[in-house]
Amino acid sequence: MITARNLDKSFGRTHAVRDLTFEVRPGVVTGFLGPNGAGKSTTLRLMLDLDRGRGETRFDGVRYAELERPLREVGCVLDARSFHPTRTARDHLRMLAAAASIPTVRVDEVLDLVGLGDVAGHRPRGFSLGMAQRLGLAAALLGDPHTLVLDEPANGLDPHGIQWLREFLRAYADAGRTVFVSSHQLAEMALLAEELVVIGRGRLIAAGPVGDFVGRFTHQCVVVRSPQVQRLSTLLRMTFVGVAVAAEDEATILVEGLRTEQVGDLAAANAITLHELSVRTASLEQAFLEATGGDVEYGPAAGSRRTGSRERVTT
Amino acid sequence: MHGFDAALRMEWVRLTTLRSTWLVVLLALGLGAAVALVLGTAVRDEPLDAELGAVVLTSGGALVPLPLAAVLMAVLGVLAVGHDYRHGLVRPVLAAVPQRSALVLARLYVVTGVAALVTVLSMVANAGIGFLVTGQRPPLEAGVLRATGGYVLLVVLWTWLGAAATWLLRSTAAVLTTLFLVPLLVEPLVKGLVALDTLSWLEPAVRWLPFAAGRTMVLTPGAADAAGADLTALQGGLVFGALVAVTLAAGWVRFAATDA
Repeated sequence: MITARNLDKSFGRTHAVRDLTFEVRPGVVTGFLGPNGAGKSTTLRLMLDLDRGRGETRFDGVRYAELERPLREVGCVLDARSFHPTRTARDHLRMLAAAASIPTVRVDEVLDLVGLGDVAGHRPRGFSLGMAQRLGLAAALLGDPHTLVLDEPANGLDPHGIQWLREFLRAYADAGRTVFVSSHQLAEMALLAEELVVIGRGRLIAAGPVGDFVGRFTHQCVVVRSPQVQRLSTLLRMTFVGVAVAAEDEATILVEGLRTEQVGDLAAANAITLHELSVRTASLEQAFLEATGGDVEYGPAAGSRRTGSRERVTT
Repeated sequence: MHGFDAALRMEWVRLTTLRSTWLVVLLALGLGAAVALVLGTAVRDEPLDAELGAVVLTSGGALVPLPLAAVLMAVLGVLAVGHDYRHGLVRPVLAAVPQRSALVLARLYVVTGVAALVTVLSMVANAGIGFLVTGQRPPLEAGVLRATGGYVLLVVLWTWLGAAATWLLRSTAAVLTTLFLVPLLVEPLVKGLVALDTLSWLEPAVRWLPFAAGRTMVLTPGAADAAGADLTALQGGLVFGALVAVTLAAGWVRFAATDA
């Protein structure tokens, strides 16, 4: 369990993280989302006592700096290319392992686990970003920790690597461990995470299950396709107060505020033929854009993105 | 201290798994031996007294503005810290040992051990070379022992200065430039400028120039008298030590108190 309380950090006049409080439960993968410049990496550094700021983070009740052997409790990857280019991959891990009295045999185990066994004796200056990510993950796994904190671990991985990482992290969480992963790749996060912590401009926007987040920041709607769509639209507006009906094309309408049963019953009662009656649920990406649209730190038109995302959801 | 043992284990592996460490050590031993060979050859027809013996043992010692082993071990100190910032290693290293003061102490401990060992080995090698070339052993009298002891201490102080300045500036290039420019150019320039009437008021300060003061630690009493040294070896050591201490304190505070 990770408990972050009142994390706060400024760089000069820039308030990067603002009174951020959240929890990360064991047993599930928790995604950490936010637009560029939202303060995700700063938050992770604060959590690990790498940056100096206010607030505190406890890993199973203990602050990071107070952990007896941190690598055996918390594994982290903050920057994939954090290694000396001429120190071999094995020696890089041996160096870190020495701090926690982890035997060298474990170094070879984690290198094999992440698929770098064949290049263990190579200098990593020629490693691709994907290989660097794997080396970082190997470092995080050295102490077989109960908690993983990973910053954009899928960056640079090929599709096979991403699938492997997803399955690995889910299995890791299924074993009752805590996994906290930041990412910009929303599609990947939708497949990986069960819970989310979402921030924008350093502030907490949402925390909780992915489904709750999507439900909170988007509107589910009923898709109706019919050759008599105009008549059905009129009947819906006359019958139900407050219902929102929008045309998607000449034969299709989107209905908000009703269940499929209500729309179907009304159509049947009025002998209206339906070619489609379904529920459209918004994606994590739509929810993310809706939730963070006004909190984009760096982007060409933060305001227009917010407007655009709302239009997309309500039409 | 909490985290010190862990940091010590990590630092030893860190230092010994880098090619640059071995390169610097070999350079210190090889260049030191080469200088001793040249010096020994130059004085082979003279009796190897305390002053000459100390010069051969210390590869030139106080005669040069940049004592050889001192500079190379300072480079070792710079690289020991500078790699962390240049290659982004500071975060994984601190993730492994979050106790920053323990990390500083362990790093100083390891580089001190290496620097002292390399200096002693260099002097042993130089003694052998001196004997082969001149057929004489350097006299093991108090003056020589004081100069060689001072040399070991001077090398360790330079090593600390390199590491400390890099913690402070976080730039390998800036620190190396400073470490070379100040003793090679700045201090001689200040010494030269006091010859001008308008700057003669600076003369009392010249004796306190720290790098020049530090070199007095490598002088035998006889050599100090002959050179008309303004400071004793102890005073010179204290002046240079003060520079190192101030730099180390500032670097330590920056490393411990600011973002990694």
